[in-house]
Amino acid sequence: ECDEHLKPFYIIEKLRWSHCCEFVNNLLAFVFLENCRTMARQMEPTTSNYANNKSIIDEDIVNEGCADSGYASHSSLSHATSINASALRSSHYLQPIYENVPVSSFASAAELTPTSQSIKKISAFHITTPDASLKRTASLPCTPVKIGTPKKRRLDPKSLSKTYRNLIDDIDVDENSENRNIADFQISPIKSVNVLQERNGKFERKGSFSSTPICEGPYQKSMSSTKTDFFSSKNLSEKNGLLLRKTKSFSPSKKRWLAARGGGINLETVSIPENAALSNSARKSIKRLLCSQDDISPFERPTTPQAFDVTPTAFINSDIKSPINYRSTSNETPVKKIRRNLSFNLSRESPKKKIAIPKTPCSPLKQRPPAIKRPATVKEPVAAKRPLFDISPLLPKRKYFTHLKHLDILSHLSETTTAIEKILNHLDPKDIYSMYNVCGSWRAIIKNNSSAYSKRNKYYSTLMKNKENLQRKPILRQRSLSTTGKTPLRSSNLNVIKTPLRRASTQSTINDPFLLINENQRFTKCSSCGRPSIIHENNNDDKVHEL
Amino acid sequence: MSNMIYLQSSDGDIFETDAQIAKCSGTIRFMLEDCYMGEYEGVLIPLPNVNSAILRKVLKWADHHKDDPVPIEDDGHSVKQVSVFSSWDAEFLEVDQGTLFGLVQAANYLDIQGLLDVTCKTVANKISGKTADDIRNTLTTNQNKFQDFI
Repeated sequence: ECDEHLKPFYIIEKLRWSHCCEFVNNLLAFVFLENCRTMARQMEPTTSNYANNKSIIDEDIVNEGCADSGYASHSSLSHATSINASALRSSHYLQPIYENVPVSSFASAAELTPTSQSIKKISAFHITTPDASLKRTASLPCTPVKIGTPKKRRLDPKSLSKTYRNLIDDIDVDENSENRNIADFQISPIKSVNVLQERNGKFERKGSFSSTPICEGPYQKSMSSTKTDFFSSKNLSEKNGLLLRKTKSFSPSKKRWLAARGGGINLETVSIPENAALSNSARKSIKRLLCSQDDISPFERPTTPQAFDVTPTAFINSDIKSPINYRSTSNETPVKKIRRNLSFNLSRESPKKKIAIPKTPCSPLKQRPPAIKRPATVKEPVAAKRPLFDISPLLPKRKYFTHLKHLDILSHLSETTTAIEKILNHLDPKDIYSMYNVCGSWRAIIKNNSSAYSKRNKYYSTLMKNKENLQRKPILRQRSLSTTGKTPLRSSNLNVIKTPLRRASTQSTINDPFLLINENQRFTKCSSCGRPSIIHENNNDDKVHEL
Repeated sequence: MSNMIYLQSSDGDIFETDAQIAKCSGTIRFMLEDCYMGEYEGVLIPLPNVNSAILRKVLKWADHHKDDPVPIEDDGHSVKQVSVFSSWDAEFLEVDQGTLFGLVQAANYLDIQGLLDVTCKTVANKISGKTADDIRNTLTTNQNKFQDFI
């Protein structure tokens, strides 16, 4: 039982005590009460007893609770606020009063006390949605943000295929273009460069990825509907159709190349016949496509020649004979198609390869095999096996030969003539002769000493006289008959005294044909000397021995 | 009155000897008489070509033959050699060939005719009565140099 003005406070009091366990509720209730208090102040005539009411929540208690519940959970706070808000809305007592007052107006900073402002800040800090907090943290300056140009990524084959796929997706294929009216579109020369390509039974352009649709729909429809090779028909070509100046702008070399590839097709005389079967839209589309090669002055020309290179080949190979035949392979994937077309558009050879670099003959230096690096080991200089200069003669000779058992005294005394003379004077010719045969140095010493050398020669002469067969052998050296010894060996012996040979009387007498023997003579052997003799036999038996 | 002189060998040894004994060497005699004008007391005479071992032997021989008669000089050109090869000399010269060679060199350098005669006689005695092969085996060690004569 209370005043009606205090009814809402009673309700609040109940609510407060219902959540007395939760200290946070007190806090929020205090906030609510603060707001109510401000509103009550504004409505003083109606709430005159409001200031004297003792049942209102004591601010000290609320402040203590605020101090204690500084780290209340976010969920509990939000829950409490939602409850209080719902209670506030549901309270029909306040509805007539605060019907047109927004809730946010209660939280104006100017109207709140400092305590309530701090509490509001705390609640505003905590009562935030998780998404909002995340967004806020994402933009916090504390999070490191790399400033700089992003790294260029190298596309691996997988990523390249992905890019190709994206490329296809980016191609704006207007599938509903068939149903559109061609009059709604304006023919663009840039778009006309694009090459139509069949994909899954539909045409799509290639080479340009602009989002604006092109107007090939009617053309495609007409092509697909007629399926007639109207370009090759003679009757139609003879008519006054649209004369195409297709290859007018080509260079002569290009024309020759195209003619060679076109298989003898006269490119310049290709014309579109006026076929009744073709609709106007199809005719326009054909014209647009075929006039793409014409030199349209008011429009820009593509800078890359590859874009122009594609269209004639495409038309020559496919369009002229059969415009729909675009190398369509049913099993070909879009990626492969794009790859094929890209490779078809681009030149096969790189411009670097086309540059004719005169091949100069390789110099012999270039033909040499690459030099092999040798290890950095440095060989030590090999010591000479023998010294370059023999310095032994320059070294001082040994002056003293004491305590030497054997020493060539004469060779060392060769320069000492006095001693040599004394030594040689004490020697007889035989010793000098033997010394002469000892060695060359000794022989030279003896030759230098005249007395000793004369002694040696005298001894040698006497030795030659007393020795047999000391003559040299000229017979063996001179093998001529004239040099043969005519004298007996005995006569050549110097040691034998030459004596005249006695004549053999026996042989001469016997062989003498004039030796006559008388009758009283007898040729017999002498009994006394044994030599042949003639014996005269006389009467007196006197024997006369006659030689 | 004896005059002592000092003889220094090539290896630095100094031998004190009487001047009369030293005068048996013609080199030392001329040096004392010409350079020191008869006053050679305490004179040090260097002998660079004679070592101490050989000099000691020379002085020993000179000391033994100090009383020998001085060789007679005929007309100043020729010297009559009076050499007596005694048994002491034979025993004194029974040394190795190196020492004998040194004594010959020292006797020639010091101009000691008696010693030179004796040494040369000793060398001659080593050669005499031997053939060429015996001489090679006795007086020489290097047999390769005689290959042409064998």
